[in-house]
Amino acid sequence: MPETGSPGTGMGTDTRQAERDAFVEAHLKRIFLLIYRLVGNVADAQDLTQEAFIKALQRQEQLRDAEKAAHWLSRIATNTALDHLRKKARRGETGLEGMAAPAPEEMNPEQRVLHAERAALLEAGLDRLTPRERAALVLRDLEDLPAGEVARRLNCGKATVRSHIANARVKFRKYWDRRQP
Amino acid sequence: MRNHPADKELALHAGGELPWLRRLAVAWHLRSCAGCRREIGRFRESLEALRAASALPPDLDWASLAAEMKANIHLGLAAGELVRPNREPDGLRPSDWRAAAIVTATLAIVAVAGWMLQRRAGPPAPAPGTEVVLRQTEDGLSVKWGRNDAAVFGAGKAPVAAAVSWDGGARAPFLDEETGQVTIYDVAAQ
Repeated sequence: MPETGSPGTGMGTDTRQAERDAFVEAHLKRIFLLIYRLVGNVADAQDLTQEAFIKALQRQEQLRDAEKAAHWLSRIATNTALDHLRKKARRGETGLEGMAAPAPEEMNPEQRVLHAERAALLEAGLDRLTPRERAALVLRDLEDLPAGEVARRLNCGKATVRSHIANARVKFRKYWDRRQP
Repeated sequence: MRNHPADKELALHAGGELPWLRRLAVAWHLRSCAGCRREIGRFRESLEALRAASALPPDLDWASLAAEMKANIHLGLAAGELVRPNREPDGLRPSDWRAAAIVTATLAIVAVAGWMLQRRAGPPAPAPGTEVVLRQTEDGLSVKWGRNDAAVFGAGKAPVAAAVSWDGGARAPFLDEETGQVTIYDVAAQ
């Protein structure tokens, strides 16, 4: 690990490094899962998780209060994933091109099918939503955040976020209905 | 409620986000409408399916992935430290403002003091032997300044007034009584 502090900082650099490591350790899985749910594939989720942590840790002075830091990191992660989804939407990509990580060889055929189906469900279903609808649905129904908190994360009003949630559920349900025998 | 609630209202009711008045109205409707109850059930099913699908892939090797991400985060931060320009933030720091204020105040004091001294001292006294002498002669008005020869102007006439400046210049207006024309002579000493 390269030294990131100035040479004269001595113990200060070590302390800062330890704080960074602890912060990453404490939040990595939660943030990865949040971003994975938002973007729907492992490769993008990995890149965006790294990006979100780097953005947050470059302003380490804002991470003193643990509760606020966790909240702030979640906002950075949500915004990073939303930016990615918007760029992707502008490029006209569909998520099916970059779906979940390929199933490993050791999985049995049934597990492979189930894994692929689940990944396809998540990705194709969420791809029918706009980035904000998708974020609202993930934050409300998968992260279980109250609607008010979702509104704060998405920087919009509560009525707007309710509209995003309703649209997202209706679209996703239609998709789900079509998949049923 | 005679009409069925809209799809979006049912979607919000399924997640408990409807405002309480609408929630009561929809709940009242659901008591007597099996079709809308089924709709609510379908919304809940689709969300359960979404939750089930959104867990991390079972084949994901989290330990390896986490280690890779941690290493990349460290590298990213180190690279950021290297490329971050080591300069002061834009704009003046408070200490810069203080220095600028001190310099400005000093210059202002010097300028005011210089002006006041100049006013108090008045025009410099001529050195001995360099006084300006203005005389009315037969040839006209003559000016003599130190060793300079006398300058004569307004020949044969008396000036209306005459003034000598501290640096040896002289100024005198002459009136031609016949024509009423005024001629002003202004002689500068060199």
